[in-house]
Amino acid sequence: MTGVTKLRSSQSRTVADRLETWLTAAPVHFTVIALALLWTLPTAGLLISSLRQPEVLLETGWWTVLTPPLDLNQFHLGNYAAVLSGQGMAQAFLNSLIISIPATIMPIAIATFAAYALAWMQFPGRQILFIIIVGLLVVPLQMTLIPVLRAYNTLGLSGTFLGVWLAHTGYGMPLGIYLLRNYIGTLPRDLIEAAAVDGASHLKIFTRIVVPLSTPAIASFAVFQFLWVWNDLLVALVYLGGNQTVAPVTLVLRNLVGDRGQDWHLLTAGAFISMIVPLLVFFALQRYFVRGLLAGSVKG
Amino acid sequence: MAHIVFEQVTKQYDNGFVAVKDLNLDIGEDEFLVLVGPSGCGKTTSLRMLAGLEDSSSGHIYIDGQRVNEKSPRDRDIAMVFQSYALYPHMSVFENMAFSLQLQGTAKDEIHQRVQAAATQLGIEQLLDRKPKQLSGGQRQRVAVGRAIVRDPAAFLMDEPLSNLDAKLRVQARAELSKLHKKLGTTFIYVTHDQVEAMTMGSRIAVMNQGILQQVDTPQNLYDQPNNVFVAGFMGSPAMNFFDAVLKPDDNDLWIDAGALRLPVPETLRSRYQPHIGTPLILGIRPENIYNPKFAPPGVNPLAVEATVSVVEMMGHEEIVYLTLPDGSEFLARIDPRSRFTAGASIQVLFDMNRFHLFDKASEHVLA
Repeated sequence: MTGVTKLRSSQSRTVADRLETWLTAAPVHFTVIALALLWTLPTAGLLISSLRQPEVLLETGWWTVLTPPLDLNQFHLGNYAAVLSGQGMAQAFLNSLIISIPATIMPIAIATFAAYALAWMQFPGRQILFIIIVGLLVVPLQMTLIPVLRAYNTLGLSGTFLGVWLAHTGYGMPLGIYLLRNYIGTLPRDLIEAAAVDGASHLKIFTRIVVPLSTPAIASFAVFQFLWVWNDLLVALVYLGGNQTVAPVTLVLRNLVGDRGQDWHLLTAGAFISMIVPLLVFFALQRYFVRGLLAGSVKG
Repeated sequence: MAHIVFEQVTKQYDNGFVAVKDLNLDIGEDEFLVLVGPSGCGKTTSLRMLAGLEDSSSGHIYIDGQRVNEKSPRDRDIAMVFQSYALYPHMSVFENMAFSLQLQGTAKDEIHQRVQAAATQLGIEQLLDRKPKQLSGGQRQRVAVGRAIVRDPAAFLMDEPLSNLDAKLRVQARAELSKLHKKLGTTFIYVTHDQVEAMTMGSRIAVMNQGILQQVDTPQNLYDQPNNVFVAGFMGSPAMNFFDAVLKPDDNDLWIDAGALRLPVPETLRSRYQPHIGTPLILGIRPENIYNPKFAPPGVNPLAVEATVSVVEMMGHEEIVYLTLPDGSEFLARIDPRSRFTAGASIQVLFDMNRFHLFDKASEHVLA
């Protein structure tokens, strides 16, 4: 008898407990879900708009598709076909990749070397150099546009991919060095010293120990830099000018709006295409963010 | 095998702190030298200067007659085992052990063979494919040692390699390291704060305190003839008892007067201590040299000392008794377990006057 009552009371307690836990967590869950929905809403609108007929798009808002729900006839892929075939979007897509990939790899390569030196090599003025680099984070890039462009014009770099790569490398470097130095500086000192005693030079320590252990930081900086370059309009516009053969997606998208903003259907479709690459990059590199890569090296 | 010499080595940091002062140390080939001392005594700094991980401010460090002060760690032909083990987390055990050989440009077959040999020697051959995080503490420690021995270096430096192991494993690892040293016959320099490790493993022990080398000797000599109060108190557990004392002549005898304690100096030592009559001294006597009269071995001074028991710790093979003298001074005795003393009891103990130490109170040095 007593056993049964005990069991029952303990059961009811767990139910009460669970309810309590759920109720305590509910506001957080609710807020998170609400925020997520709020953030996704414009993207959803963009997707729906890009699939609608051009005439309808100009007359009514995207949410009107919900009134005759599940009516698939109001959607079509014509906008995408139009964008991809006629508007130089394919070339622009290629240009964007040609710009973004080197403009991501170059600053990573340079910044990682610099970060290692700033974190683990002894040389006079190291701290001041680092402070100057951090200070560069607050310099608005607009300030550099005119002097750099003038330099590019004399060097014949304006309107070329190389010019954009170098510009993006320069603009990305302060953040990259700052992020990577902070990460590399937290690697256990013992590991670096063990490698030094094992006979590794600075270059070997860098390539064999520091870079493999810094992949999470390098990956997150890669995502930052890639997204920034991919979405950039200003730098491309200034240094590439109106040169359509080298124009990236962002420049073409801007032109897609049309002189009087009438070509909405093309803009939405084009914008959605341009979103695919950043998403792919993010998901591809996401696994490197997983923590705990250092577990097991030193005690802890 | 390497002959290592520290000559007048000093390490002063930029903020003025002197970590190591005028270190002179001559470490012979195939010696197992233990650097021991409390934390912050400069033992690890000395080791790191030898490894080349830290610069010395002045003085010379020689390995096999070659001055190495300006050489980088990789040019010194030494291997180091870190307290944290410092295994490369992204490499397997095999890669960890092969790393230094790869850097030397050793042929693949030979790397394979040498790693296998070292792994077999340490009993970790079944772990070669694992990553460090998949290993237990004891296994990681073996891998760290294995990483050092595959290189066949001139000297092994070890910085508290056993301090992260639990007590039982530590005892086992201690014996294994001693065996390894005998087998390899290479110079080992071992840093620890644990005097038990120092006593059990070292062929010689160097005791350091506050950056200054206190004494270098074999474990037995260090224990029996400590140079000063610090060494006497640091080596041995429970620690040596100290009393403020003064030598007093009386008739033909010489007495040590330490408040409530009054002990005769044996005849053989009288002439040695005669010059120190009247100077303030410190009397040191180890807890195991204090006996219950019932179980005292023959030859112990028959003069009994009255004391009150405050705490008894029964260890099974001995009793550690905390005693208080009438004047309030406290001391410890390791006594035969058959004594069965109880706290609060007033008892008599015998001091073995063949085994005591007298130090000058001002300099804390042992009396000549």
